[in-house]
Amino acid sequence: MRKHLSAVLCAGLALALLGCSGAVVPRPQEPQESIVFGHIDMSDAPVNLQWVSIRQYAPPSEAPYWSAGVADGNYWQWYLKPGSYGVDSFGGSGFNSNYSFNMPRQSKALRLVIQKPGIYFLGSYKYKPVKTGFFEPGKYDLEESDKPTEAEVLHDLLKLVKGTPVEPKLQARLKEVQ
Amino acid sequence: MMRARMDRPRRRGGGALLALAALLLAGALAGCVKPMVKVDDFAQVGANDVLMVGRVELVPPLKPGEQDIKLSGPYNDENQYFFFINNKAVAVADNPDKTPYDDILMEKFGNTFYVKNARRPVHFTVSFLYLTLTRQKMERVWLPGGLVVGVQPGDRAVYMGTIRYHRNEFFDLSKVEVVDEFDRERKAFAEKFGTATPLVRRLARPSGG
Repeated sequence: MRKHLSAVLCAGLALALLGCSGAVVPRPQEPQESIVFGHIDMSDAPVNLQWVSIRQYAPPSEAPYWSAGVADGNYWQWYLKPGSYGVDSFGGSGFNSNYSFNMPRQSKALRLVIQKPGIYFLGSYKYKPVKTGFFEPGKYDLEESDKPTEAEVLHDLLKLVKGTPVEPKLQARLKEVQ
Repeated sequence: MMRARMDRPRRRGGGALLALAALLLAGALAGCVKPMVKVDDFAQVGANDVLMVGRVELVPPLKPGEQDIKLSGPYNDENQYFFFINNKAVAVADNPDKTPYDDILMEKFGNTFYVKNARRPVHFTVSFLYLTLTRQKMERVWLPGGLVVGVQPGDRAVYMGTIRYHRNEFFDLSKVEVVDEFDRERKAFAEKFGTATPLVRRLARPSGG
């Protein structure tokens, strides 16, 4: 019974996460909003990438957490205004567990400062487990990766945003980086 | 290639475990190693002790909303730092958590501390503060130390300076300095403890440990 309840809760969480972002592009961007996207290869992780939470560090906000859209290891946020941001955590649901991987604030990876509206690629990273002792807490590395490239991620995103207001912006960016 | 190592991938819903871990940490701070004793009356300073006077600052200071401290307890105040203090130079471990320490200095950023210690050189090894301490999450940032205060035989009260960390919103440090505010602190010291015991200036310096 407990496992059934857990499965229901997992499904509910997944739906809630999907619900947070709703449609892939829920509304047109405002002029000062930026597109931020990236990729995390979780093939060596216990779960697939199912959610990414981006935190706004500056300017201060009472609602600093931004839920990113996620598909096939790619993640994106269309509506970030100028400020300082970093991926706060990411994770997914396994067979009977949900995993959350926290990013330390002082990590240099997966963060950016947006000074003017634009399109920003946070890079491609690969999850690598780190062997630890039996009683030690788990560790993992995020290694910067050449693949997929920004162009490859953009190509994937463009399949998701056909006919939406962000499509021409992503197409323009793809032309720049190809 | 950028590479970032992270601790504790954890299963969601581990709030109780996290709370327990935080309580254990607080217990460790409270039990195994007592925080350095704050001194309000110079009579508390024993014959073989020295009174340490100094300050730690963040520039800019923490802003409202930068910390999320929701677990209650004596060690869980906002704007508080925890400095690992050693009797000798100690290298900071890859995982700073595992750095050995002899004492913990707990104080709020920007406050002058008055604590007692055995009369010998005092090493300020590494420090941390909590950014998030809730049932769901514990997030700390670490600040470098590697400083020693060269307490001398005969010293009764020593001023070590202000350790000032210049940081951004990610807690990248652009500068760490020891600032000499001796005149101001000597005046405050005299108002607090009188003028019978002189406050000696021995600014913290890199320990090379």
